[in-house]
Amino acid sequence: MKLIVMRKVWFVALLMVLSLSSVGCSKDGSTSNSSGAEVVTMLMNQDDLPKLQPVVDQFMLENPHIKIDIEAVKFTELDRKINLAHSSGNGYDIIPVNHTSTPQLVGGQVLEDLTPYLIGSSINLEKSFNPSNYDIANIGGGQYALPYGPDVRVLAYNKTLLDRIGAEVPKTPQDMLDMGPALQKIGAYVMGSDRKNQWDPIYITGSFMLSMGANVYTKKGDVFTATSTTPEMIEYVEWVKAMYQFMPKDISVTEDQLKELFIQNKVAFYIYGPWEHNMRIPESGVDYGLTLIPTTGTTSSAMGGWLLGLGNNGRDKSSAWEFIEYLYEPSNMASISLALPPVKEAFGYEPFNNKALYGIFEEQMKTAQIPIAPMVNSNKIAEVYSTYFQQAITGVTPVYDAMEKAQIEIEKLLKTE
Amino acid sequence: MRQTNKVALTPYILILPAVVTLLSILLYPIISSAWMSMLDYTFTKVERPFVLFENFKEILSDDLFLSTTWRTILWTGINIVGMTILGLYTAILLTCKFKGNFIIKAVILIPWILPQVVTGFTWSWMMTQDFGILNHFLIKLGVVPEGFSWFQTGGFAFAATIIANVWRGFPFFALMLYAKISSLPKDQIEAAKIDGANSIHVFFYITVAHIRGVLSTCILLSFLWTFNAFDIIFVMTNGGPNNATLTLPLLLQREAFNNMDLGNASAMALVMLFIMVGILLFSILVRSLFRKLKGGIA
Repeated sequence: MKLIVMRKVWFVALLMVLSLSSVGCSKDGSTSNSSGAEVVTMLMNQDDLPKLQPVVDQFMLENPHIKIDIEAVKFTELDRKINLAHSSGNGYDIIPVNHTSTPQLVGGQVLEDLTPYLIGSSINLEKSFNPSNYDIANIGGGQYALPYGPDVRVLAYNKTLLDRIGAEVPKTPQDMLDMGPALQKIGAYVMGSDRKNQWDPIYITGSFMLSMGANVYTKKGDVFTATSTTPEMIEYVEWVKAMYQFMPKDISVTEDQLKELFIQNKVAFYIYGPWEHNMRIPESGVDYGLTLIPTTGTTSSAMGGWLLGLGNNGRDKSSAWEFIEYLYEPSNMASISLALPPVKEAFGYEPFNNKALYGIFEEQMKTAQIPIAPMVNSNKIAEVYSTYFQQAITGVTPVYDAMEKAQIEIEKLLKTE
Repeated sequence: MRQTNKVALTPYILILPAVVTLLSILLYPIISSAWMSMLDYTFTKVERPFVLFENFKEILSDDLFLSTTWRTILWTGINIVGMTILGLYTAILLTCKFKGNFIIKAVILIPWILPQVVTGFTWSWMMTQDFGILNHFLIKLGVVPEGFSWFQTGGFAFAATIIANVWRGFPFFALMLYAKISSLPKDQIEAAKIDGANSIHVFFYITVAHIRGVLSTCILLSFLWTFNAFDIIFVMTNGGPNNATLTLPLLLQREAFNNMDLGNASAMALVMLFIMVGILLFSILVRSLFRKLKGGIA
């Protein structure tokens, strides 16, 4: 008898738990938290968080009716997070946008058109930003994101190694190649590359590609054209192939390991972004200098970076926009920027008013380019190009043959919507 | 009579929540994946039109997908052979009585419990051209030339990922087989020896026969884990150089989250499922045929 009663009790309890859990699963459309403040959700690169958090705290102090809820993840996870959250109908209010992903996110209607928000706003596109920075997110006449963390790369050289081989700071890619045998003799590499990263031959080693006048493809008006077999491109890949003799051969070498090799005086050159000022190389005490990317004509470099957008299915866009306007005040931009501040006036604030540290980046920025114009198949194109590039530099396929194959496949991808 | 009915119904009601939960966890992703595989589903477009088998046609005519499929099967096969040989050898070694035996039993599980990412990083650092300890010793011993790199060419990179994965997986085989070998009745071995069997006979006709069931379970589980392995290759080579270590899970991840093409990625996932089920059914068929054949001869 006791057993039957126990069974009934357990059965009823089970039903109650199930009912409660199903109630718990129902979606609450409210955007307010228990204190009544509007909750704005923001996805962020975890590297940005230490500088961003104090500004966020200050904003919430000044605007107690808004609570900023930040989710910080590794930057490689951002696109996946954004797309999954949007697909589930639970998108973030504020989204960091990698400039290469902009067309995909606009095509998937993940981003809100900011044009109506910019009318009468304290953010003035033409006055505040460089056109090349915001044009990336101007698609079909709509402005879908604002520049947030533009960056440009310059060349760091190891003074100790250059002194040991009696070399000057290189002016051309050939100067760097000529140092190869001497550096090899003393057990050092000229430079390295993260060959696992499909963007390396376009953005990092790719800075030399631009400086040698080559491009993976070009965009004129609305027409894309693959340019992987131009004489400049062949010269660039041939140069990397020759440099490869004096570079670490492992595909497992990461950018962090290359940095360590540079610090340990085992690599002479390292492609250096402005964010590095807050990181390992300056702290290590290695004797180094910065120079513009060596060139065969006019110096250039890969410009990239992040933008900030509003989620199309975010829940509280007006509060989110209020917060964005606060972030774009020049003094706030200067204190949160990890790379370079997108707002021109922010260069008047610490630390960007330090010409010794940031002057070289300002100089390189003048001729820097977006290596590939963002389009829906940018990622796939980078994958294809990187595969043939690797085949060419490792000697698996002759340079021209590899680039010809890349050209055909890229052309096909450029024609696919 | 009424009481009997009640008793018969209660267990079903009680297990119903568990069954519903299990079915929703197991079936929903498969059905959802099957549905998505028939849509032109990319994150870059709002419309997701129904395309039936177009995604399957596309991936099955893609050279990269086909070469990756063969590479995945090869990768899985070599890994399982490696794990089986090393695991069996270690299990037999553990049955021998020697000083420090208990320490080995305790530490042998470490590779197995380490996350794949840690294993991947550890081995890639050990094998690094410049500061890898393994490379250092191999060069000192004259096994490989100065400046040797595991990760420069496809063949060695493929071998490197296999070595790392076998190292990670063999302790599972070793412990499972050791447990089974320990339960082997000694009188069987003694009887065989009296009948004139040597060590090789004892090993093949008694030990292997005794552990056959556990061994096939280990192989089955390892097949599933290895075929689906992602982290270790991702960390060590990310499929390179020149796609020489690219396996299906990596290709699928690229398609889904790099190229944002969930339709193709879902089709790939289903093809992977079919391949795995196909291989498992084939192995079951071969085993039952083998048994029948053996029964017939007997």
